[in-house]
Amino acid sequence: MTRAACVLAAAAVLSGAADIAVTARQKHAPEQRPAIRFTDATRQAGIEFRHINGASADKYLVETIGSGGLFFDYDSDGWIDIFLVDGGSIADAAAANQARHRLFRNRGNGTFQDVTAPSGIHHREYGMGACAGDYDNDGRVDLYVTNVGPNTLYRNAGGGLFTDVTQKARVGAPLWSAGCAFADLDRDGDLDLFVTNYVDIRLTASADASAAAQAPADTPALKKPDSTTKQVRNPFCGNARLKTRFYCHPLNFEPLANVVYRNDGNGTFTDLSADSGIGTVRSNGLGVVIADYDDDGWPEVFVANDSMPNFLFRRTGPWRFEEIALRAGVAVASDGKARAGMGTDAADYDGDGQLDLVVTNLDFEMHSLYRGLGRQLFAYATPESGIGPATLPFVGFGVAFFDADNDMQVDLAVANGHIIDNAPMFRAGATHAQRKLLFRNIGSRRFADVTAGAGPGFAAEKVGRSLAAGDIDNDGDLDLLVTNNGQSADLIRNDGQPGNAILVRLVGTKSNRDGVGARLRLTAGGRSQIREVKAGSSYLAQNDMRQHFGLAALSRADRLEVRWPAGRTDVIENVAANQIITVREGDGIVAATPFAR
Amino acid sequence: MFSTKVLAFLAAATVLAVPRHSAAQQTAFTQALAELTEAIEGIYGDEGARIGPALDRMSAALAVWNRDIEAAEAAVATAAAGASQAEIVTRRISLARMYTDRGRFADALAQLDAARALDRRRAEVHVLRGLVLRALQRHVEAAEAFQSARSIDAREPLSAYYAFQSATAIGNATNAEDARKALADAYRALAKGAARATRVAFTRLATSQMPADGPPLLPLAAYKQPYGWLARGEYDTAIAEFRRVSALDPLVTDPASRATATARAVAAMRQGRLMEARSLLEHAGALGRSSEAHRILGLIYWAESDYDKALEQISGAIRLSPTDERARLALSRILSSAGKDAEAAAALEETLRVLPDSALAHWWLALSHERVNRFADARREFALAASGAVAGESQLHAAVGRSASAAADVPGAIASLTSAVAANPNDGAMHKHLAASLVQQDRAGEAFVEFVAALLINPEDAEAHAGIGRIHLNAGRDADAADALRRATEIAPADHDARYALANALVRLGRTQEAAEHFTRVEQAQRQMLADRRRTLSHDVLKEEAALRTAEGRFEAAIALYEQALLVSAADPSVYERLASLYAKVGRAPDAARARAMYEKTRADGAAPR
Repeated sequence: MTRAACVLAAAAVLSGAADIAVTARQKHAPEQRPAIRFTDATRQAGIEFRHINGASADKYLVETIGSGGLFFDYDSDGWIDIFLVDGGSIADAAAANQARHRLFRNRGNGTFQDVTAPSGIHHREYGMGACAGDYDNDGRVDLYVTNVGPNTLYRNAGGGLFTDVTQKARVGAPLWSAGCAFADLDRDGDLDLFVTNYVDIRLTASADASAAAQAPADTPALKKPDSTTKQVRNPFCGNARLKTRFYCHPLNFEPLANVVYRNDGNGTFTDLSADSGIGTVRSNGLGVVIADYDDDGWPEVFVANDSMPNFLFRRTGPWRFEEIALRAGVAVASDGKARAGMGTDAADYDGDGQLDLVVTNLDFEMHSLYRGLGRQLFAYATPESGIGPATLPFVGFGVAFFDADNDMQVDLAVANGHIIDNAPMFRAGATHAQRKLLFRNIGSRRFADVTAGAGPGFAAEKVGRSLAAGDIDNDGDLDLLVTNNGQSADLIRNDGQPGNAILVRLVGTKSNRDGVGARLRLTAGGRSQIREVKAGSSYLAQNDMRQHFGLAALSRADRLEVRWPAGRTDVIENVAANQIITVREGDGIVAATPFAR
Repeated sequence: MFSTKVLAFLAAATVLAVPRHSAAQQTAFTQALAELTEAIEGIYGDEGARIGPALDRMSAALAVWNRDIEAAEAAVATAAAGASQAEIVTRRISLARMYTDRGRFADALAQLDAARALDRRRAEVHVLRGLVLRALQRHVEAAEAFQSARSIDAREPLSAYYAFQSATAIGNATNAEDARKALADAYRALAKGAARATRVAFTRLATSQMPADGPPLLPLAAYKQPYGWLARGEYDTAIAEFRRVSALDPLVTDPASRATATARAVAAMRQGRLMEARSLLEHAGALGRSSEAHRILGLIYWAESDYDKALEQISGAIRLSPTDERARLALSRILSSAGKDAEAAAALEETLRVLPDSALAHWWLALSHERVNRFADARREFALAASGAVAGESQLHAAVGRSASAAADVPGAIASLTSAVAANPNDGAMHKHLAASLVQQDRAGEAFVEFVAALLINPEDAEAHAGIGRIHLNAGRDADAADALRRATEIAPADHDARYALANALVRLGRTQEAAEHFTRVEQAQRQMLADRRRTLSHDVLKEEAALRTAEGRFEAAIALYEQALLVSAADPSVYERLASLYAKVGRAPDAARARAMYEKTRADGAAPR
């Protein structure tokens, strides 16, 4: 019996079991909570995709990092679609030519259709991540793909067609980009763009002599038939005596500055990285999440950095930012040491009205949870939260706060997978493929590891990378999309017995069309929940932009407040549960569709 | 290794601030025991003659010690007439301590009960009573005893520590919290430097007479039983068993052990005259059928780094005496010295097949597994070694805890580190390791207590102050956090992790200007650390790439890379060594000479490669 089969068999035995690792401070007895169960619906849904990472004996670092995926409703039919980023190959041109991004259209019946071919979306360079946002406010969500090499902006032209407008828009940063996020950073009503850059693997004339000494005439390079061959730096990391090579540590390379583009409102962007201060600091940037952490009406940008302190960029004036992560308490862990930050998300997990942060890290670092204290301060909350020891053996990437069981508290899902494919050489028992983790919010600022009882969707061990949450079947509970390095992607459907919920889609009029940056506060049963619309988070990923609120057994929300980026606040009272509502800026609810239950 | 252990033991015996009655005889006994233990190791092969005399000295010291106890018992029995109550109590306490030294806990308890009946206000009676009851696994009564001690002086930190442990063990949260608060008060004084000069010592009840601190003492399998008797306080039985076992020990019985030539050879070996030692053995006809002679010759070759010949001799010893544990262990150590780690591990596994009770084999195998990150296997072997240990249990339990931690088993690490602390409560580092694991499990209250315990041992322990500071910070007690972290940074200004936490506390207290100064220093330190790490990685990569080019025969390319490596770090002798060889290969003799000279210089400087 293969190892995977054993795991699945064990998971089948355990499915439906009560929570494990629940602490003495558990608020509710297990039998009072709705069951959590996720099913692997990938095949059933028709998501056929296998990530090409180009893994080679030369161990190029890029092979380990990708790639991303996201939920977005590209055809505005009310059903979220899927976009998956493919990688490529540095060592093998033939493999590189086979890489292909995928766009899957949600048919609304539990299945998806591959519509990549007619979409105009082409694979270029070596794909990393993606984010989606209606940057031109034409009512159609556009797509930005990050690459090792120039990134690509696809404008959604409607009818399932996307047009590459990178050059015109001037957003083709040529570096190794990783995460990206759209946000209205200057509150002028359109979406600006933030891109994280990872490490510099370019082999230039000024690069170190080791590369020159090393490189014979046939130095491997990024090879695509339609692009210029580039040199790629790949120092030998390994043991020469044993002739064993492993993937280099990112600190073997120079860090890069992140990039911020201001949307000029006419289809073009201006790179304000240097002027804004964002470009004055360099790091190994990966995950990014933009939200208004200090609730002052202006968004801040949090960047998870790999093996370097994280960044938190706060606005100090028109297109001026200062980096305040260390002072805010989110740069490093409580021991003052940087972690290998990969993925990140923000939400109010303890219900105190302050946004909190989660960052996934390497094994034996514990994933980091930072609890917002207000006043631009955070407390390192990993030990008290209960997620610390459970995450010790795992290398975490994609992460999302989401209410898995509609109990009005956000839970936490993590996609894990090692970076090095020969992990057992470094630690007996370490594995390349790792299982995902699901933590249920049990109140009092604590989580319980409920992975074992979460159903077959969480049982498989894979080399997890991005993770996105979204309601693919419009039934009021959140499903998950997980990409895996060098493997198939997973669509994990939530088949639990969730309580009631509301899904809120925003349409901006003065604010950006998607309502990105809007803060929602829903009050029901004496409790408040806050959400913020984000266009990019986790690891190289993006969640469904519709905002999901669990309502447990309540049949309605007393009040829904939407604070739009343009400044207006709309209040809607007495909203019935179990429907998808569309709220337009200034007009309230303009559409409502019952859940497909 | 074990001669230093003797010194360590003697030092430990004086550090333990337990008044020793009949200390002279106990010391004489333990001194003789230490000499016996060192002799049994048989490192050089001539120690056999010392075993008998050591046992004789143990017997003599034990006899006098027994008489001392009898005299103390008589003194207590006759003390009723004319002695003051305080004096009677003191005599009973002394006798109780003498009983605990001998593992006679029931007898000790009887004396302490009597002392308590005479004077309920003597805190040390209650504390010692509590420790004895704990040793007898009577935890509820132990907790009551410690509470009684606390009722006399609620602020006394040692009693509070014992009370917290006992109350936690029996689930009495109220008493545990009360004790914790007392420790918190004690800590506040420590944080202000009020108790700077005061160090306390915890009491450890032990019967084995061997130190719990220091490197582990793992007896040879043949001697497991007599050491076991010793650990149970059955000293007469233990001595008799030592005599029986040693009479069968090749160290004693092998004719070569007693031969003059062997003695002269070993004497030469001890003085470092290895060639002479070898010659004496080889020419005296001492080999033949003597496993000991082969073993000793093997040790000589090992000392000369002639591993092949060493292995040949040791293997010969094993062929002649397959159950010779010393030879089998030497075989694995020599293989390890020769860089044959896998074969060394296999040799240990074979040793365990033949001698399953070999605690030393378990220990060395554990270390071997740990080196290759087989932490689960290391943990198992450390635990098996610990079950046979007679001293140094603290280090063994810590090793098990370390392996558990490396395998992400935090509860397992806590259990092992708790044992490590119990085995040697006066080791501040163990308290801190335990505290760190407790923090990971969000058992902040218990972690706090362990950090305070470390500070009771050494009030200047910056790490412990910082640990307490972080606990306060995580709990939102920012002012307390600032006090603790400030103390940490006063003691250790270079502890930038503590400084970072202090800066966080100050920011939360609104002292932003003060915080900014600390953040600036932290940022500088972080930048330096990052630069150092990059430099190390870069250096390693350049060396490996250079090695590859060398293997490919591309010497000029290799030279360029090694020269670059020196630009990154000029203190690595291995780079100069390789450059010297390469320069010679390409005909650059002067450069080769210069490189060779730098190799000798940097090696002598002891500069470690960065």
